[in-house]
Amino acid sequence: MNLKLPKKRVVVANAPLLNRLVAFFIDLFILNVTVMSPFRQLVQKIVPEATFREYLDYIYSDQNLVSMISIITIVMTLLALLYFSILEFKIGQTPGKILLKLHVVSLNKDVRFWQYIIRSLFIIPTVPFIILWIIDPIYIFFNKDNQRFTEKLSRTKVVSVYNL
Amino acid sequence: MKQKKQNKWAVSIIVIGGLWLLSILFSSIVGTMFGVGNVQGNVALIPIKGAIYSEEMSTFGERTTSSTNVVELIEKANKNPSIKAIIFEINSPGGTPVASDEIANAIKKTNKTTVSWIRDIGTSGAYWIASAADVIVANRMSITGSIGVIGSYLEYSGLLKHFNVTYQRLVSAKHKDMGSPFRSLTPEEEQLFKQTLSIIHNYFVEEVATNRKLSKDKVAKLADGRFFLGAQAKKLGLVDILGGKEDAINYIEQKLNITAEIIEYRGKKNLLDILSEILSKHAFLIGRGIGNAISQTGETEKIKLWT
Repeated sequence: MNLKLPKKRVVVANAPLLNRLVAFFIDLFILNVTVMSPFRQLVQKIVPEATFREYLDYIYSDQNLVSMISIITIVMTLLALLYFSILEFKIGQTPGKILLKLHVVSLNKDVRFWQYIIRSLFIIPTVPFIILWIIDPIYIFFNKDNQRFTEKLSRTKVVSVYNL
Repeated sequence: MKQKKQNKWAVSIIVIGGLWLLSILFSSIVGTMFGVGNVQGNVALIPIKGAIYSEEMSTFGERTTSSTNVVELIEKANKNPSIKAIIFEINSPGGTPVASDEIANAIKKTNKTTVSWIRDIGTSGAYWIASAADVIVANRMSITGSIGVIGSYLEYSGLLKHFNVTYQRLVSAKHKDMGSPFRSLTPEEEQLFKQTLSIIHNYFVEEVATNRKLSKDKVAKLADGRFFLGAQAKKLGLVDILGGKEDAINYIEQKLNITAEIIEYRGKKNLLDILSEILSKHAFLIGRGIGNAISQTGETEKIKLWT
C-alpha cells in the first residue's frame, strides 16, 4: 500500500543561548556525580576541619599537598575535556545536549577530533585558557551564528534541530 | 530515530563509564602516591615498624622505617589544624642513633599531644623515640628498654687467612680503615670505638632522662643494655600506661576532651609500591568475595603461638 504521507520536515537553527546554558549545567552535574566523584572523595580526605584561612595555610605549607592538588586538577581537567570532546566527536551531543535537543556540527567537510578538543579548551582552569572564560561567552553576542570564540576557532557550532 | 537516540544514550553511558573508571584508577594512584589515609580524623597514627634508618633501606623483604619519612609525616600532622594528637605505633627493635634522634627531635617539636604505643617490641633506638612522646603505652608483655649502643660487626680476617687471601692495606692515615672486616682492630682502635660508643650511650641516657623526667643516675643504672617487659618497665618509670591502642585513645580523649577519630599517616610510595597496593586491594576484594562464598561465616581466625 502506498500512502502519500507528508514528509517529515526538519528545521535546523542556531541553538538558543538559554538551552545551551541549561545543557552545559546538566553536563557539569553529570560530570560532578560520576567522573569527578572519586577525586572529590580524595580531596575531602585531605581537607582539614578548619577555617578557610587555616586550610590555605595548611595547603601552602606542605609542598606535597600543593603537588597533589595540582595533579588532581590536571587529571580532572583532562577527564572533563575528554568527556566533551569524545561525546561531541562521536555522537555530536553530550547528555545535556541530548536532553535539550542540541547538536554540535562541524563547519568543515572532514570532521577532525582536534576540532572538538579546541572547542572545549575553555575548561582548562589555567592561564592562558582562563581568559576564555571571559572571551568565549562575550564572543557569542558578536557573531550571527552565536558561536563561542573557541567554536569559531574550531569551525564548529551548536544548533537546535526542530522536527515539524 | 528512536533507535538512533537510544544508541546515543548507550554511547554516552559507555564514555562516562570509561571516564569514571579512569577517574577511580587515577584517584587511587594519586591517593596512594601521596599517602592519603582512608578516613578523615583528628588523631594521626604514625607507624614505626622494623629497623630504623635515616633513609629507606631494603633488607630482604623485612620492613624498615626511614626517619626521613617519619619526620615528614610528623611535620605534616603538626601542620594539619584538624589533627589534635599523634599516636606512634611502635614495633621496632631500634635503629641507627641518628635516625632515632631525628624522629625523637621531631616528636618533641610538635605542638600536639603525643603518645607512643609500643606493641611487641620497642627497644633501643625505638625506645629513644618512644620516650620523646608525652606518654608511653605498652602491653605488660611488650619488650622495651635495652638502653645502650651496639657497634659489633663480623670480622673475616681469619676466614681470608684460611683461604690464603691477603688484605692489601693501603691507607694514608693509620685509623682510616678502622672497622674494616678484613683485619682485626688494634687495641688502640678498639679503645677509640668504645669511646665513641660511650659518647652515644651518654647521649641516649641523657635524652631518656630528660624525656622521661627521671634522674640521669637512675636511667644510667637501667642503661646496661637489658630489656624489660612492659610491666617491669612501668614499675621502673620507663612506661606510663599498661595497655594497647584503646588505652592510648582513652588517654587522648580524656586529656583533650575529644572523640578520637584515627587517621593513618603513611609515607610516600614508589611506583612499584603503588601498583602492588592497588593490585593487592583488588585481589583482596576478589579473595574476600570468593572466601565469603565458600565460608559460612565469611571470617577466619588466625592463631599465632610464640614458644
